[in-house]
Amino acid sequence: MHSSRRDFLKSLGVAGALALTSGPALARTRSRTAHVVIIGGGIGGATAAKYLRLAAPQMRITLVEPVRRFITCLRSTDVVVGHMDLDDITFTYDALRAKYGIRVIHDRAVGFDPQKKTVQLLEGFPLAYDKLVVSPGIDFIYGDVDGYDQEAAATTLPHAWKAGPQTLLLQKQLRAMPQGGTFLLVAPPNPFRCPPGPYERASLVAEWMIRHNPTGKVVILDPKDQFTKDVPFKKAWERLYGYNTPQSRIDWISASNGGKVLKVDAASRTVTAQAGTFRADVVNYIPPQRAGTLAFRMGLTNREGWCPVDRHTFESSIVKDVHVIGDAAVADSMPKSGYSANSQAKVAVQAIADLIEGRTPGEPSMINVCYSLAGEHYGVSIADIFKVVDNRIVKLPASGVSPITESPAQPLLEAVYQRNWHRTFANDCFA
Amino acid sequence: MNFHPPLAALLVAVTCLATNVQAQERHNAVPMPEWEPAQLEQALAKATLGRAEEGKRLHHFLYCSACHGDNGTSPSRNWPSLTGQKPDYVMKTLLDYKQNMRRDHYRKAFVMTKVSSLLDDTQMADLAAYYASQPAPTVPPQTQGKLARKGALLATQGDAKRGIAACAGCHGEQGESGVTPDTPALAGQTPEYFIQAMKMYKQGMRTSDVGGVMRMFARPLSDAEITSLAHYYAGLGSRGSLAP
Amino acid sequence: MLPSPHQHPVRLTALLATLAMASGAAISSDIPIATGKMIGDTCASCHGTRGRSFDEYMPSLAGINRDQLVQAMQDYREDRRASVVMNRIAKGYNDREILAVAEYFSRIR
Repeated sequence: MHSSRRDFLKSLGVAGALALTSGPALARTRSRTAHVVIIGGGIGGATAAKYLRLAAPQMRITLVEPVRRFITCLRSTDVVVGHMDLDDITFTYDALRAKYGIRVIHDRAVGFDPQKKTVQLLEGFPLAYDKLVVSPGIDFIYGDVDGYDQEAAATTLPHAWKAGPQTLLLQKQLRAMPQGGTFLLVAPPNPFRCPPGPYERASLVAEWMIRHNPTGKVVILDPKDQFTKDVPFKKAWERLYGYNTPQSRIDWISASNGGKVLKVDAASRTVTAQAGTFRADVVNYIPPQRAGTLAFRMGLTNREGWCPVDRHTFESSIVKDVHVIGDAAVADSMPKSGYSANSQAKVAVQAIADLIEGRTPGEPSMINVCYSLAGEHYGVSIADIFKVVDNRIVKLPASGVSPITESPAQPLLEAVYQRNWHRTFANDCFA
Repeated sequence: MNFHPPLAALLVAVTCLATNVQAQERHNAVPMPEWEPAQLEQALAKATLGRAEEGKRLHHFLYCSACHGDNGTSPSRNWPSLTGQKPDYVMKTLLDYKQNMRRDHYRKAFVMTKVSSLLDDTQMADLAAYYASQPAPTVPPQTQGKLARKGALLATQGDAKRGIAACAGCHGEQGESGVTPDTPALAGQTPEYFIQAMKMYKQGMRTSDVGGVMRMFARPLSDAEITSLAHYYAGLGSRGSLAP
Repeated sequence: MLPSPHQHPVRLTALLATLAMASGAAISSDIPIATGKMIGDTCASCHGTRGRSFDEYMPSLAGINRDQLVQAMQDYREDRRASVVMNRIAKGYNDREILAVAEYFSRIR
C-alpha cells in the first residue's frame, strides 16, 4: 500500500477515535490531522497554501501544480513592451516548501472522486483530502468566430492572455511590425480575466510606438460599450496619445460602433467586424473565456462555464468539501483579477480552518485594488471593498476608480504604486 | 502646473530618462553620483528665494501632503517631517532625488525620484520656503523617553574614546540645524525615519552627504546607539521635554 | 489657487455614501463584521503578510499604534487626509471594522 492511501486510511481511523474525545481536544487534533489539497499553484492556490499554513501550523497541506516556475499574467504586458523580463514575473515554489512546509507536487490532477474524497494524479499516487481547494484559472473558448481557432492563436494571432510563450510571441510580432503598421487588439466579452488588461495593453503598445514605431497605430475592436476604469483610461489616452483627435494613436471601436468581430483570416491577419474589415500587422486576439478545463473535468462548472460557490466560504455549490477560488469562481461584482484571487483565497482559508475545527465560518471581507498603466509613468487604479450580503458578493458603494485631477503627480504616483505593489503582492502570494 | 501639453511631454521625458525601474533595481550596485561642494553651492543659489504661498499650493497639488502631512509635519511613523528645516536642506534633498542620488528603505527611492523630476529649481525653492515657514514638528507620539535619555550624552558630548564627535556640534544644541544652511534640523523628526537614514549612512547606501561626512560619523555607531539618538532628537520636538 | 487633490467633486457622492453607511452601521451594530485578522489579511496584499513590509508608499502596519491607525483610516475616509488610494479604500470600512483591524495590527510584534 502506498503512502497516501495509508495516510488516507489512517486519517479515517483517527477521525473515528476522535468521535469519543471531548470538544477542545477534538478541535486541536482535527486541524493537526486534516489534509488539505490545493490544485493549481497560481495566485489563488499559492496564497491559499501559504495562508492555510499561517492559520494552522500543524495541518498537512499539499499543493499540486504542473509547472515548477509560475509566470504571472500580472504585468506580462510589461514584458511585451520590454519594461520587464519574463524573469521579473516568474515565481518558484521554493518558499512555500522551505518556509511554510507545504508539500508541493509538480503533477497534473487527472481524476477526482468526490465520494471517496481522493484526487488522482497523472504520475503520482492518489491524494486523499479532507478539504480540496481548486484554483483552476481560465481557459479560452475557440470556434465561435469563423477562422479563429487554437491553431491560429498558437501561431499567428497570439492572445498573450496566459503568460509565457504567448507573451514572447506577441513581443516578437510587435518588434517585427513594419513602420506605420497597425496593432489590432480584439478585446473579449465579459466576464474575462483582468478586465483592465486589454486597455492597459493598448496603452503600453501605443507608448512603445512613440519610441519605436512613431507612425504606427493601435486599434481596439471591442464587443462592449464600456470597460473598467474607462474614464481615467480615456483621459490618459487624450493626454498621452492624442485620443479623440485625428492623430490619435489609439482607436477604440465599441460594440455600438461595430466592434464585434464576425470573422478572421489568420493568414492575412485580416479581421472583419461589424464596422468593416481591418488588415493589421499584429493581431492580438483575446478570445472569450470560461473556467479552466480542470473545473469542467471535475464537474464544478455551471451552464455558463464558471464555478458557482457559497459566497461565505467559496465552497462549491455543486460538490461538498471542494472550494473554488480565483478567476474560475462565480463572484458576482468581484472582477477576475489576481488581487481578487488572493483575497478569495484568504476567505476560503478562514472558512476551511473554521469548518475543520467545527466552527461556523467567520464573516468574509474582500478587496480588489488594481493598478493599471496607461503609460509607463501614468497609472490608473480601482479600489473596491466587498462584503457578502444574502449570498451575493456586493461592492460597497464608495471607493471606486481614480479621480481625474489636474495634478501630474497623481498618475505618476499611481504608476509608482503599481510597481511597488507588484513586488509586495508577489511576496504575499509566493514568499 | 497642470496637464497642458508641455506637461504631457514632460511625463514622456520622465519616461525616457528613468528608463525602467526593474533594470534600475538590478543596477543598484552601480555607485550613485555624489556632490562636489562648489557644484552644490551653485545649485542652491536660489534656495532662499522661494515663495512660501506657492510652496503651500505645490505641497497639496503634488500630493506631498499625502505622506508628509497637511503642513509638512508627518502624521505617520513612516515618513519624515519637513517642517522646521532650513530652505537649503529641503532644496538640496529635492535635488538629491531629482539627480538620482538617493535610496529610501534600502532600495532605490522610486517615489521621490519621480516626483522631484516634476519640479524645477524655482518650485523646489517655493516648497522649501513653505516648510521653513511652518512651525517645527512637535514630539512624535511614538517617542520613548527612556531611549531618548540614553541618546542625550552621545548627541551632546560625543565619545572621544571612539573618535565620535557630538551631533550637536553641527546639528545645533537643540537639534535646530546648525553650522551650514544645508545641515538638517533633527528636533521632532520621526524616529523611524531617523534610524533608517542613519543605518543607510552607516552601510554606505546613502551617499548624498557632501564629502561622506555622515557616512564617517555613522560608521562606528551601534544600532542601539542609533535608536537612542533617534528618540533623543524626536524628544526635542517643540513642546517636548526630556523630563521623565 | 487650484483646489487641493482631495477637493474633487467625485468626493461629494463618496462622502454621501460614507455617511449613509456610517449611519446604517450606527443603527445596527449587530450586523456581523469580519474579524480584525480577516480584514488585516486583505490589507496584506499591499502592506505585506501580517502587515510586515516597507515599500515606500505601502508601509508596514505590524506593531503600529492602534489609535494612530484608527485616526489615519478615519481621516482618509472623511477626506481629511490627502491620499492617492487610501481614501478610496477607507470608505469601505465602518468604525467597528477600522477598530478591529487596528487592534489586530497593533498586537503584531
